[in-house]
Formats: sequence, C-alpha cells, structure tokens
Amino acid sequence: MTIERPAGAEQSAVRRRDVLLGAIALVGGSASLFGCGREETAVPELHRGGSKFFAEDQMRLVGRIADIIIPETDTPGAVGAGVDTFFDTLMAGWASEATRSRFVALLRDIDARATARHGAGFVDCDPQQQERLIAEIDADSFRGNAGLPDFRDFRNLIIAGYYTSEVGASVELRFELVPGRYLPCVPLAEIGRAWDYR
Amino acid sequence: MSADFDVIVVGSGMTGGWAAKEFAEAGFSVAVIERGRNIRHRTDYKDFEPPWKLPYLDRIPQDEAARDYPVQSTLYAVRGSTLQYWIRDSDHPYYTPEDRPFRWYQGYSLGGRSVTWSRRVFRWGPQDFLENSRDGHGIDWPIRYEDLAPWYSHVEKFIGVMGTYENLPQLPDSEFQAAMPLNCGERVLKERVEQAFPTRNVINSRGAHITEPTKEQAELGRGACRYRNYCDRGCSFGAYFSSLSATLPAAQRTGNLTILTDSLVESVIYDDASGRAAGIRYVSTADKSRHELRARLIFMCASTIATACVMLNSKSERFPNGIANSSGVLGRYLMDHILGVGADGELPGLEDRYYAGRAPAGIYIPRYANVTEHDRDVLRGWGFQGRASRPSWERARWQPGIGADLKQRLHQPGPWTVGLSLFGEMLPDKDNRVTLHPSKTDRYGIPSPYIDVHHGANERKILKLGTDDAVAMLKAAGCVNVRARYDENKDWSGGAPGEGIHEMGTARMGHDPAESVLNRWNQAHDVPNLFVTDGACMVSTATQNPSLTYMALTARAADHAIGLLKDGSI
Repeated sequence: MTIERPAGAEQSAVRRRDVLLGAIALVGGSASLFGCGREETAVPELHRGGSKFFAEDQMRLVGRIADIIIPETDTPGAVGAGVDTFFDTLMAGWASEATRSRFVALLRDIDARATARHGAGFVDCDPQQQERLIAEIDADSFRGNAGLPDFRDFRNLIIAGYYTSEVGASVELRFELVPGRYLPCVPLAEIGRAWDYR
Repeated sequence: MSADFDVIVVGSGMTGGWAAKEFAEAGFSVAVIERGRNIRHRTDYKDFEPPWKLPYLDRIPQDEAARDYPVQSTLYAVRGSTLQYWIRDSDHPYYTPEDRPFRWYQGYSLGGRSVTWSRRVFRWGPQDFLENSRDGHGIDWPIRYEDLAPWYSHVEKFIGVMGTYENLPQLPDSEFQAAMPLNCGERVLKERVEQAFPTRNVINSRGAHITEPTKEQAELGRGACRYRNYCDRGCSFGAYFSSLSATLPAAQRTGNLTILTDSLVESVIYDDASGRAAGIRYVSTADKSRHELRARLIFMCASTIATACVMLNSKSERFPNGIANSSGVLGRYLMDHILGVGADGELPGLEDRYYAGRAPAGIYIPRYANVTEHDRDVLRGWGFQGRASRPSWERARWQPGIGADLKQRLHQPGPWTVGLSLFGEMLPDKDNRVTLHPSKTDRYGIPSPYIDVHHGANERKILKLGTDDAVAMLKAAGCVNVRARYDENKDWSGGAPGEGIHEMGTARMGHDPAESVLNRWNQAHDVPNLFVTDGACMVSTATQNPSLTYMALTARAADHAIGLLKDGSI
C-alpha cells in the first residue's frame, strides 16, 4: 500500500501542487486524499467547530501559529494537513492537566504579546507582524531560559504532527508502508526528497 | 501419581516456545502456561498502520502512563501500538531499596518478550564460558562453547538468522541467511574504524530476520523481511522470529500442545515421597480461582525474575526457602547488561547518497577488550551496536527555525549520522538478588518481588572506557560534532540496572550443588524433574545479547530431558 508519487526528482514545485489538488478534486474535496487505508483520516474537516478541547478562538490561534511554523508552499501547510485538529485531539486525549495548562497559558501569552506590541490580538495582527513575533519566540525558545520555554515543545508537537500526517509524510516527504526491498546506497536524486523516517 | 501432561512449560516466550516445540515434536503432551493474555499472530498486530493512523503520535496518554505504566512507559519499545505486549505496572508491583532503582520491563502476553525483542542474535565465544573461572568472579560454567555449538546451529536454522561470515574467534558465526547489507555511511565507518583500529571489527549486525526463507519456515507461514522496521508491533509476514510466528505454531501442528493463557503460576508442587516436582499451582487471573496441574516434568521459562519468584514461593518441608534451593543461591547473582552510554556524531560527505527501505539492521562491533586488546585495567569487555542514517524531520526538534525555510530544509535528509551504543558485561555478585517481599503481595495474594541490584566498580569502568572508545572511533572515522553519551560530572552515567532488559542469573548452573541450583543440563540438582532454561540459569552475562544462548540452552536441555523421559528415569 505504498503511496508512490510520480517517479523521479523532477517534480517541480508546480507539479507537486497540481498532483495534490488533482487528487483532492478526484475524491470530491474531502475525506481520504488517496483512498488508501480506512475511514478516519488526518485530512482536515473543512468545517470547524468540532474541536474537542479548544474553544473556537483558541483553535483559530493554534491554526494560525501552526501555519506560521509550517506554512502552505507548493504543498499544504499545517492546517492544510489537519495539524490544528491533530493538536486539539492531542490535548483532549493525550495531554495531562499540567500539559494542557502549559499550552493554554502559552497561547494566552502569545496573544498578550501581540496585544502589547500591536494593540490587537494575535489573529487580528497582519501576517508579517504575526510571523515576526513567532520567529522571535522560536529563536528565544532555543536560548535557554529566555522567551517562552513552552513554545519549543508546542512547536515540536506541531512539526511532529505535520510530518506524521498523511500529507506531511507522503506528499511533503516520501513514505512507503511496505518498502519490500532495501537499497543500502542509492543516489539521493533517485529518491528526490527525505523519507519520513531516518 | 497421575499426570495431566507429560511436560508443563511455565511461560510462552523466547524459551517457553522452544521447550514446547521440542517436546511436542518428540511426541510428548505439553501444556504451556502463560500468565498474560492471548495474542493471535497477525490478527492482533498493529503493523499495517501508517504513522497517521496511530493516535497521539503513538504515545500513551500522559495520565495513563503516569498512573499505570510509570516503569514500562520509559522504554522505547512501549508505545500505543505495542502496549498490548507490556504489563501495567500497577498490576504487577515490585519493590526495590529506595536508593537502588531497578527497571523491570515485563512482557506478559502470549509470546512474552519474544514479540518485542530487538532481534539481535550473536553466539557466545569460547572465552565467555571461561572467564568466571579465570578472574574468580562467579563460578565456572559447567559447559563449554563446544557443548552449545550444535544447539546454536539447531536453533539458528529454525529461527532464521541473517549475517555475514566473519570467522571471528570471540564471536563465532551462526548458520546464516543473506545479510542485510551495510548502507553507504556504514561502509565508510567500517573501512575507517578497521583501518585506525586493526584489533577491532565493524561487522553487519546479526539478527533473527528471514531474508531467504527455508522450506520449514515457509511451511510455518513465515516469509522474508519486507523492510518496514515495524518489528516490535508484531510482524504479519512472520519475518522475524517470535514464539507466536514460529515455535508455538510448530508445536501446535503436532497436536500435542495445550496453551493456557491468563493463568498465573504461583508455585511448583513438591512431592516429598518421590522427591520430585509433582506439578504446579496456578491462579486463573479472570476469576482468581486456584488450580493444580500435574506433569512428569516441569520446565521453568517464565523469564529470569518471574522464574526465581515462583521457585522461591514454592515452599515445602524439604525446601523451606524455595524449591531446589538447598544451596541458598536461588535469587542471587542477578545480572543485566550495562548500557545507556556510547557516542553520536555526524559523518561528513556522501551528501548525494541515500537509502530506500527500512532495514532492521545496522552494525556491530564485537568485543575487543581482553580479547584482541589487553592494555586496560578492566575485567571482561563490551561491544557496540550502531547504525548510520540520515535524520529526517525529527532533527528539527533540536534546531530553531520556522516557516518556509524550515520546510525547505526538512525537505531533504539531514547529514549522515552515526550512533554507537555500548553493551557491557556485568559481573556476578552474590548481593545482587531478588527475594520475596515479606509483606507485599499482588492482587492474588502472591508475594511481590523485592529486587536489590547495584552496579559495581568494574561496571562503572566499562561505561567510561567504552564511551571514550566510542568517541575515539567516531573521530577516527572522520565524524564531526561527536557527542559522548556520558556525563563526566555525574558519579553515575548509564542507566539503572534492568535497563538492559537482559535479566540473568538467580538460578545459576554449576557443577557443585552447594553453590548452584542447576546442573550442566539445566536440571535442578535437588529435583531431577525440574528444569530452568530461561535467563535465570545464566552464570555470567558475556557482552552479547542473550536470547540466542537461552534458546540453545533450552533446546539442549529439552533433548536431555527427552532422553530421561524415554528411559523412564523421570
């Protein structure tokens, strides 16, 4: 059940995008992107409001920050891969109360920073302001105690959610469920991009 | 004395499966008793789920992990997709001194830890059976390499072992199927390390993975590896060896096997009149009802600590401190491999080379200390497992960066990286032991284990020297950003005892009944129809992963016991 993209490394940015959109169109713009596997899918529901943990405004904030961390390029970004829903599910089903509080406080803190600097909540700032702020926080979070220590964990969960999603693993990167063979030393150009695993 | 079965095998894992197969194939009726739940080969595996079908990044919910799996959840192999193979700590309490933690990773379900093992397969060398007597730590093994060699072959042909013929005296070759080849990074590492250290070898890892199925393996429904590397979820292809894929089906097809799951063995029944074990007592875990089962012969294969506890709990007038324990040694000399240290580095170059497929393989650096190198003040030795690979997206975790730049960067694999992980020998020590807790019991009223194990000076020395060696080898290979997995500022680096998940000892073999529990056939000195063939029988640890040796010892012991059953002496 390997999801093979058109072979070769020649896939231009444009082609990858086309292939993806074509696939979505083929199945009516929802549900399983590739018709591979079973019912549930990481592809986002188009209608929000079905969140399990976050309130609607928090979900918008999570989605916006996630999309700044992994934006849409020639392939979908975090929200396009369903990572906002993934994170909501993670908080509802996996996180302890302490973890939830950390991330809720983080979101509040990011919103407060935006308000202090720009006089508007984070989602109401313009995209450049949003991106600058998150870039600053990201850099800080890797400098010991400065900035927001919880941001790094949040960011890493968003990244993990993206690259383990169907889109992240098999469209942005390459994925094979059953490789069937081991090639220990091949030109990278033949593979074209990173596998989803090390 | 009427018997329900010819043989009772306690435990269904690595060794229990082998005992069951050997006796069933020889025509004897066998009951395998497993304390955990049934697991059906293929049907119950979660090995076709892609990453996005595994909830929560395959993690255990945090509250559940803290409440029910505080020990188990610290292990790499315990995840959402493998949780069914591991115990809930809250169901199986054990105790340690407060300042001496012991991590006990327990797999109680049909197949035991043979389902989740790391599948490394290395023979012991002749030196490994001699060192106790050479340096005086522990007692002499009552067998030599030559005694076990044919049984290694017997086991290897059946389970399927991939590897390369190397002709190394300290690590004899197995009966190999085709090796999984080294990748480009590993080839470079091998070349440079062997050049810089002529006394060391970097070889293909050896593992219980089928690459060229034999007729016998195919008949059992086992096929070649498909390079998914989802092994520890269970393998529907039957490509790696487990009790579930191989030994239990082989035993089952004889029609001589009965499997009882959810049946916790409490003790071995001793019959004073005959001087023999009469059977076992067990608790049906579903309703806590108590039962007995009788047999001509008992094989203890419950895993080291569990076996020791069942035997310690088997008290009689003749054996007030546990069955077959006239020596007082039962429960003592508990060992584990030492690990948790090593080194990592980046291997520059080869940026245009990559691989395809996920091989459950890598490299192995066999022991060299006190084998090919004699320049250091340390006893015994250590080996390294490792691999070279190119990190994917997960490397983002340690580097700042967001946005299209991050995505662009992660679109390509990271630099070649190499990791070397030490596996070191632990000396036998009388004071490292498991006893029954004087007052605590599990929910069935069975005394809980009290485990008191510590690492000694030689173990600490190995961890330090081995780490230094790993760093030196990576540097010699041209690696940059070499990081030691060892903290100079800590008195102790490496993990707690138990983290090797190679528990050994507690019912050791030996010539002298005054200082050992088992004879050279894994037969209790005191009770001729009681055998112990799991890790409990071990007299020393060597540096190699132990499962292959357990299996060979089990097959050898079963062969001996079959002779005794046939001539009527038991």
